[in-house]
This record gives sequence, C-alpha cells and structure tokens, in this order.
Amino acid sequence: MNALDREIDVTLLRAGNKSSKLSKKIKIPDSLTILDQPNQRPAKGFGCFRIMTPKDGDKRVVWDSRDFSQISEARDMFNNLVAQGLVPYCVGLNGRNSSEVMVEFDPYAEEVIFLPIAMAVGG
Amino acid sequence: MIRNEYSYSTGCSIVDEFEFTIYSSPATCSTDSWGFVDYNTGTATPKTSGNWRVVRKTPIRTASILHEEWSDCTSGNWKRVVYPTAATCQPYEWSFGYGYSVPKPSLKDRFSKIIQSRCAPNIITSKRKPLLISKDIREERARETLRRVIGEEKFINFLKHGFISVKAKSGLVYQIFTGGQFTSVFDHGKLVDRLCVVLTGDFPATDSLIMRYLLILNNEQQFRSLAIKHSISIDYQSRKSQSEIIKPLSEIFRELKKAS
Repeated sequence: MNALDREIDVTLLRAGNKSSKLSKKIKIPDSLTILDQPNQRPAKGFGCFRIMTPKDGDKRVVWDSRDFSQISEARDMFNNLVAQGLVPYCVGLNGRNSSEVMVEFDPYAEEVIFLPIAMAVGG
Repeated sequence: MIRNEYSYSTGCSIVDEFEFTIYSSPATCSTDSWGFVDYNTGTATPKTSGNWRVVRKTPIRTASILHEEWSDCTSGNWKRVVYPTAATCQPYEWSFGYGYSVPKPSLKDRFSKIIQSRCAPNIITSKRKPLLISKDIREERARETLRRVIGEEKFINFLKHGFISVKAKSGLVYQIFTGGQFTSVFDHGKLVDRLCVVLTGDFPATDSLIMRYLLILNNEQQFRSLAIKHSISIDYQSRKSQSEIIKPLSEIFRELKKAS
C-alpha cells in the first residue's frame, strides 16, 4: 500500500463550508492496519474505525486492543478526527440496533463509525 | 397470423413457395379461397382451403418497401390509390396475399376466462428489484459496514428489497432507502411522514443509509430537525391508481354481448 493510501482526506466541516472542496489530510499511524478490500473483517480482539469520506467511501482502520502503543495511536487518531468535525458513533454489531455517540475513546469498542454529520442536509 | 411477408418491387415476385402478384384492378376474392392472378395475362389459379382468408396489405408506396400491414378484406372493402412520382403517375396497385385467421373466441369462452382470472389467487409480487452487485469498491465497503452493523439476516433482506427498517425510541418505524430516496415513517403500520436527509458530497448510496440509520437510533430529534418533510398524499394517490378498477361481471357481460 502506498503512502497516499495512509492518508484520509477529511473535508473541512466548519460552518459555511459544507460543499467546499477544502480538505485536510490526516495521516494514519504506521502501526495501525488498514483494511482495503470490502470482504476483509477485523480479527477478534481488534477494534475498528470506519471513517466515512467521499473519496474512499469507508476507510477502515483497525487497532489491536491488547497493544498499548496501538491503543495510544488510535486514541490520537480518534481525537484528531473529532477535532475535524466527524462524529464518532459506537455501534452494536450483528443487529443489536444500538448506536451512541462516543465522548471519549474506548479502546475496547468493536466498531466506531465516524460520520460527517455536518454534511447531512435535508433534501 | 400471416405466414409469409411480401417483400418486393412492382411486378411479380416469388416469396418462398407462394407467389404474389400486383393487380391493376381489384381482384375478386372469396372468403374461403386464395390464389394468385398473373398480372400480365389475368389468369387466375384459385385454391381453396377452409381456414384461409384473403387479406390485403397496404398498397406499395415505393418500389422496394416491405409491406407490413395486413387487413382482412372479406368484406370486399378494397381501396384504390394512386401514388404520383415526379414524372408520371404509378398505376393503381393492389397487393394480394393470404393469411391464416385464428377463430375469435366465443362470448362464452371469453366470459369464462374473465371469471377464471378472478377466481385465481391474487399473487402480489414485489415491484422492488433486488440490489445488484456494485462495481464501485466504495459502495461495496459501505455495504460491508452495513452488514456488520445490522446483521446477516437483515442484510439479506436489504439486498432483496433495497431498504432497512428501524424502530426508533419513540416507537415510530423508519423505512430507510439508499441514496437520496425518502425515508418513510410509520406509526402502527400507517404512513405518517416522508422525510428526506442526504449527505452532500459524492458518498456511496449505502453510506447515506448508514448515516440515517445511526442518526435515527441515536438522536431521532436531530434527524427530524435536519429532514425536509414531504407530502404523503402523493404516495397514497399513486398506490390507489395502481389498483385495478374491477367491473361487476354483469356489466362485462353486457359489454361483450354488445361488442359481439
């Protein structure tokens, strides 16, 4: 995977900037793994960030919840994405029908979906 | 049912094993026979067959056009037409062919068919088409995310029908489609709202669905505040027009009898 794939293009989601093409690149730490293929799934014991972006659709970054360094890097990435305006939702898997906004990073969360809520509008 | 098409230019032509001739004047014809008449000599070679009827095609317009319309001329309603060319007038032209007529079903047969169709169980098939495999890898990733979130069974239903249903904390059920389609809101099975919330930007269609799903589950009020409400009456009208207007059998019988 080349260096460009380890960057996430996050559209600047500030007020008045919804349709803007301005974006900021957030680098994915080298210790975290990216799942590129649609059918790839995180292994047991791994948490997963799913970051929604127009370019990639769904960028999936996994971290090992037993590795402190990976947890630390995942936490930094979490804070970085939240600062850019993405809202993290911790979702229940396999139809548990639960979703709640995360106020802080949980290293044992199985699946966290980052939604660009600021880009949601009525149509 | 016409067996052989007649394709040709002015004069005589052989099409398969049958011959057609252009006449310069109306030919006599009988309901039970067909034949051909040589244009030049005028001699006729009648052949009889109980099932054959003489039919007429629309007259030739140009030298090489294919005849396409046939009409039954047992009533003898021939027409003469003239097609002028730049320099001279074409002679009157008639084409003569044959066909096999399918006997009309009797009034009794038609009526019993209508009754049979009403007795048959009404099989309602879904008008929704299943989702196809997307060539966009982003859409495939989004679907994989959805699959993980909603579970295998609901995901299969999503692929079949193109939507997912989610019950919010308020008790309302939201029917969410992909892309920019309206979200229908049901209260105890009754449609109460049609809302539209989309993601600006080039997101895959399923990402839009996931966004709505998460918003509704987590913060229904926020979803409703973002959404634009659309009228539900259009939806009701289109459903009503889709249902057939069923006439009473007595009325159908009267119409068929009048027509026959």
